[in-house]
Amino acid sequence: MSEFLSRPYEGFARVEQSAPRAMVSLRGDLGSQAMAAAVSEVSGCAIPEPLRLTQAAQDDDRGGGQTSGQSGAQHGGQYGAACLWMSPDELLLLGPAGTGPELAARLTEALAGQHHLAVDVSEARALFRVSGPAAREVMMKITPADVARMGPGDARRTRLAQIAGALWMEREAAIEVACFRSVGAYVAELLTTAARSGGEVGLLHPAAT
Amino acid sequence: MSYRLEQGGLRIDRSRRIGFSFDGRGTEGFAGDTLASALLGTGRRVMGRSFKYHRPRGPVTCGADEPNALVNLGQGGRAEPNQRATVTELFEGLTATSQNRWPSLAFDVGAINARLSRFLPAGFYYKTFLWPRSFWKHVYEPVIRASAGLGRPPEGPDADRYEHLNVHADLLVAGGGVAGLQAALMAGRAGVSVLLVEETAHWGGRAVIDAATDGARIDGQPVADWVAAAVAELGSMANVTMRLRTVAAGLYDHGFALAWERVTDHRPWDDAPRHRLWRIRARHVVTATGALERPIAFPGNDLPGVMLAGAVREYLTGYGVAVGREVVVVTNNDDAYRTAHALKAAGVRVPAILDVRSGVASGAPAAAREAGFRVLERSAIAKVTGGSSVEAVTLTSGETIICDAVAMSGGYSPVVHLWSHTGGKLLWDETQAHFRPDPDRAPLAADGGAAATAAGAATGGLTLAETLASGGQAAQAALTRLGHAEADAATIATAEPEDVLPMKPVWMMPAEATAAQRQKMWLDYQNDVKVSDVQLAQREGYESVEHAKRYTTLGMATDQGKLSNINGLAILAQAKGEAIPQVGTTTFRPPYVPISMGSIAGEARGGLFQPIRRTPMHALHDEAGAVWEPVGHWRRPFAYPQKGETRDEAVQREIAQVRGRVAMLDASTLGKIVVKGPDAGRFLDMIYTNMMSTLKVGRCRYGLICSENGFLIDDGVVARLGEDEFLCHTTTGGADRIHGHMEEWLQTEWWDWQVYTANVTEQWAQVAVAGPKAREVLESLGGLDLARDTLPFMSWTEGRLGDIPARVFRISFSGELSYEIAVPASRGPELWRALRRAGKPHGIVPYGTEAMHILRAEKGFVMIGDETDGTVIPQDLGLDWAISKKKDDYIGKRAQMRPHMADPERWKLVGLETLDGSVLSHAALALEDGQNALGQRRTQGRVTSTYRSPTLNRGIAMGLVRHGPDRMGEVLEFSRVTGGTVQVRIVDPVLYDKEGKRQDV
Amino acid sequence: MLLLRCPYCGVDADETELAPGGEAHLTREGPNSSDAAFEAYVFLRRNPRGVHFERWRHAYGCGKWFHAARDTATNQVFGTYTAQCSAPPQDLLDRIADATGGERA
Repeated sequence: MSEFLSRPYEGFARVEQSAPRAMVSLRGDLGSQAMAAAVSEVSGCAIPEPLRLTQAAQDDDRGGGQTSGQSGAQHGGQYGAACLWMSPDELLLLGPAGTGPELAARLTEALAGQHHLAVDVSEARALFRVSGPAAREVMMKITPADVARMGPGDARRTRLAQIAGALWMEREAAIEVACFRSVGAYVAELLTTAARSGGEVGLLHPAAT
Repeated sequence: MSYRLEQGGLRIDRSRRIGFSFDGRGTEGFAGDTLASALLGTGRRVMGRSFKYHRPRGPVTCGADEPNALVNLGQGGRAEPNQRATVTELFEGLTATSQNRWPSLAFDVGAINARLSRFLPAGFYYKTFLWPRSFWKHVYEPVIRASAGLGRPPEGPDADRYEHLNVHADLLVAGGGVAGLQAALMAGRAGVSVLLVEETAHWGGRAVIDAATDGARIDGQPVADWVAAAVAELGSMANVTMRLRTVAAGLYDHGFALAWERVTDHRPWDDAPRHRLWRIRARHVVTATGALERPIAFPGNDLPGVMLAGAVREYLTGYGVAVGREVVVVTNNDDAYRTAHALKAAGVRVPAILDVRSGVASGAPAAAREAGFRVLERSAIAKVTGGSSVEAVTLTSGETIICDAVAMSGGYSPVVHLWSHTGGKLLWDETQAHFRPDPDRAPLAADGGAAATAAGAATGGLTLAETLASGGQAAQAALTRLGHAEADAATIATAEPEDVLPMKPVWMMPAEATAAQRQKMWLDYQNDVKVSDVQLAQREGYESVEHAKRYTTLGMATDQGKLSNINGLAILAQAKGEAIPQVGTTTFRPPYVPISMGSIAGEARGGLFQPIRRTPMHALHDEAGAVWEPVGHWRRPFAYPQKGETRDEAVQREIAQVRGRVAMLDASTLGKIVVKGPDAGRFLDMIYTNMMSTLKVGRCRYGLICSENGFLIDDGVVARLGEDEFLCHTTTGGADRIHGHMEEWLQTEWWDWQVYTANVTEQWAQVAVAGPKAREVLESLGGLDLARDTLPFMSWTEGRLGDIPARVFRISFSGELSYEIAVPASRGPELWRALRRAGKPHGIVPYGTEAMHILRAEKGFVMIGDETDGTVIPQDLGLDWAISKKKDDYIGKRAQMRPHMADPERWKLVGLETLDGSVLSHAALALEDGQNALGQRRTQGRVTSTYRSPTLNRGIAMGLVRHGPDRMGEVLEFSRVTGGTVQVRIVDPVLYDKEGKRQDV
Repeated sequence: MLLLRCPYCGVDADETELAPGGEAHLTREGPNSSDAAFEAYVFLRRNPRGVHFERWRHAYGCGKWFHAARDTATNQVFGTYTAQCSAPPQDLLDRIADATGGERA
């Protein structure tokens, strides 16, 4: 992945470009047993409910929907496999960097005979992370989505200022942001501008969980 | 003259002096002052001049409705014109200058306009347009431009930053007076999420000021204490967000509201966004927006020193500023009596209270008499005299009273703006002579129920007791709408009911004013609209309120009629002999107050003005000196000029390199859509005009996409990846559009077909390597067998090129031997560098979009957007070969059978050659004898693409010409942009390598 | 500024997340249709003052097309529903009839 943000930006929230992760776009019948089996086999994740994500259980117990991984978020690592609901017939699978083609191939194999499309999109996107207690306020400046109510396990595709993007939370106080790579520089500037110190709004918005 | 009292001023901190400058002169105020209160405190009443007559003006109000006290604030990147001194909070170092005066505020040559006022009547601007054009150009425009206008636009970029904020709330409470606080308290206690915004820097609104005079109490407590307790309680609720200096500026459909927060206007040294535009989605809105006092039209009512009674009181109580030493009060209602009491208590003389009403033996007038005031009933002002300030008033009785200020009150109008923005209806209240919200006809929400509830003085109930009650009732109504249990009415705070005498609507005085008097009665101060102007408009036939407004400019000033609206309507109604509700109001449109352009733009400036899409190799092109061309939001290299080379020279060199040896193009922007499923072939047969289902795995086919209207909307090469999987290439601008087009048909028409699509455009970096040496360059990278027979023209393969995983498509848009290589996006730069190294022996260079365009034009290949413009069908372009005759159907097929589409008279694609070798103008027309129905020269064709071809060493072009393909060799006359015509021969569009041998070697 | 609930993902979508698609429930006319039928299909549209069945795409969200029944004069929204149907659902029609006093949309 290209470098859009050479080092983390420290405003009233922290903005960083996330470490690369494999991303596979998977379309098919999300309610089918074959789909559940294939996703589970390849990623260890369950099929998420609409606007939600699931995470694979991890050896170091940081994943699995646990919100204790503050240190992991701070250091930008330790994010495991995850499965994001994108639309009624589309998931986005996240896995270890570099495994996109393999994940897509394994899904295609596991779903042989079933109408589906599994395609590696790891290279197509740029990933960012906005973290800290006021992370939601940063996003509220650029998206009409009700970010204040988002919590760990929530995923949402929406508008980020003038482009399309996706937001999700794998843990508390850290919002993951994905956009097309061609606008990576735009989103990097957008997020750092929104996070600039002095722009704190000071809203009290505990996530409604 | 105005002055600062020795003590008093709820809003100021006398221990903190604040230095500022006005018109270059340094002076001082106190912390908590507004610019207007500070200037009044120093004895300055004249703060600006009016728009048309340049009359000296001082503040009339103490708030957002101020029409007169407009100043230029700040300097350089922080300069802003037309700022109201009445809402500008004082800060250390503030600099303001007066506007619309030259050379100085005290002496202004533009005031000559006032002497000419009889030549500048209502409709003056309209009328000038009716006179000869030369008059406008040489006489009126220069004169008007020189004398009109208020502040000066700032020069240079804005030094501040601005932002948006998207907020969702159950309830938006607009207005932090006691009604808004009451509503927010009850809603907050019920647990719904509440956003409470207040325009000013103070909670509690008018009630706090009034209570300082009348001693009113809420639930037995002093008003200020109740307000403080309410604010503290609200502040402790996690579900309540409160914001001062934040005005609800507009209410739109489905609970969308805009609020404008002035974050650092009062502390500009802070490194923070100056303004923040809140984009609010509220499930319900309480409009507790208060009421605005109205002036009265009497001769000389625009002299500095004539002010609204409520404003006089607010300066006194809030800021410890007396607007004069002897203040005459003139009123048609009880409220202004509070001002008289307040003035007296502060030691300011009130020579008389003029009350238009008769029989005022009880209520406020009686109490005033008891307190020793001289109350004159059935009394009115005949004129105010003075030069640049009030010196005396003459009553209709003939008596003259010496005074230096007049406090006037024409009653109150509820602020119904938010209520009205999305269609809430108003009632005319006869008793109070104002429009107020009709609770039965509220603005509507998405579910058809009320979107808003009015509260407080905004409902027309002006007393403290009514205000509190309606605030509580609004909360109850809102909670019911939100599906919460209605709050207990017992929790609504109460105040003692007041005994208020009815007001008497009086719109001008004296009632039987002469024409000369009516010309001195101002309605809209800023725009200098007088009673006589509205009456003239009515006489000249501008009887509709919307017409009269535009004819006179009444209500078109920066205060948007806040002060003048009802008075103007009343005068118009009187002139028409109709009742005010029959005349109706002008439309209330957002924003309620002027909001800054910067806040509307938000973050979208500089690098964030527009998202720019960059390919993975963008930085390498920059290094290579590319000049850029915008293609949609993408930036693509137009050409790569070398040292000492012009852009055109670079283009010609790049083309020669492709034709002669080898060159490379960043083709990453081309759309790439995967289409997969058992019905994928069948689906693509509908999407494309030609047959895609018969394409063999491993092969490529060029295809055309039409709209259902038959028009060509995109083209590109389709590669069959597998038995049920295709990769569709689109144009650079077409990826998102064509992906959307496919999804639309799949989701809304053929939802039972088993097809999935994915837009994988950005997964890949793609490079075209074109030219006779292309194969040699690629083979030198190793890894793939690219021999002619292994990878024939219009086929693809995949593997590793060097050590980069790649798909190689043998397709050509240049007519040369050409490969397009797709690699994972992040490896694009690596591939680019590898190709440049490998091509070095052959002098490989990158080429840009302009060379690409010319190369394809030499080959007669069409370009979407050049040869097509939304009115062109494939048949016009001679692309019948790409339209399947075997298929029953495809998107656009039926439309192409319509009579006009099948008309042999349609203009069709041909090549065009100038006889003199010159380059045709873009969009030049082929001329024909005679004229069309509009008297224009008839035409028979037009140029769609035109270039200078280095290969053929002359101008080449393509165009659409009537019967073109049947007229080969014929010479036509084409227009030239520079004038004259040029002789052009119709030729085959394929100008180079007609047999197509070069791409198939 | 409309707020429409996307029936696929359940999001109350801000108008800026949506792309409009005009009148819903058009029947596609193919190559065998008459000129008049085809003209009506491509060009002729209802433009009611009242309830309109219209198409929207949750373009910035889940990407799905859906239908909305919206009163063009008041912006009242009677409901949204998926695009995979050729007529509005009966319960929606009943709701509209109740709300508009039986006036057929």
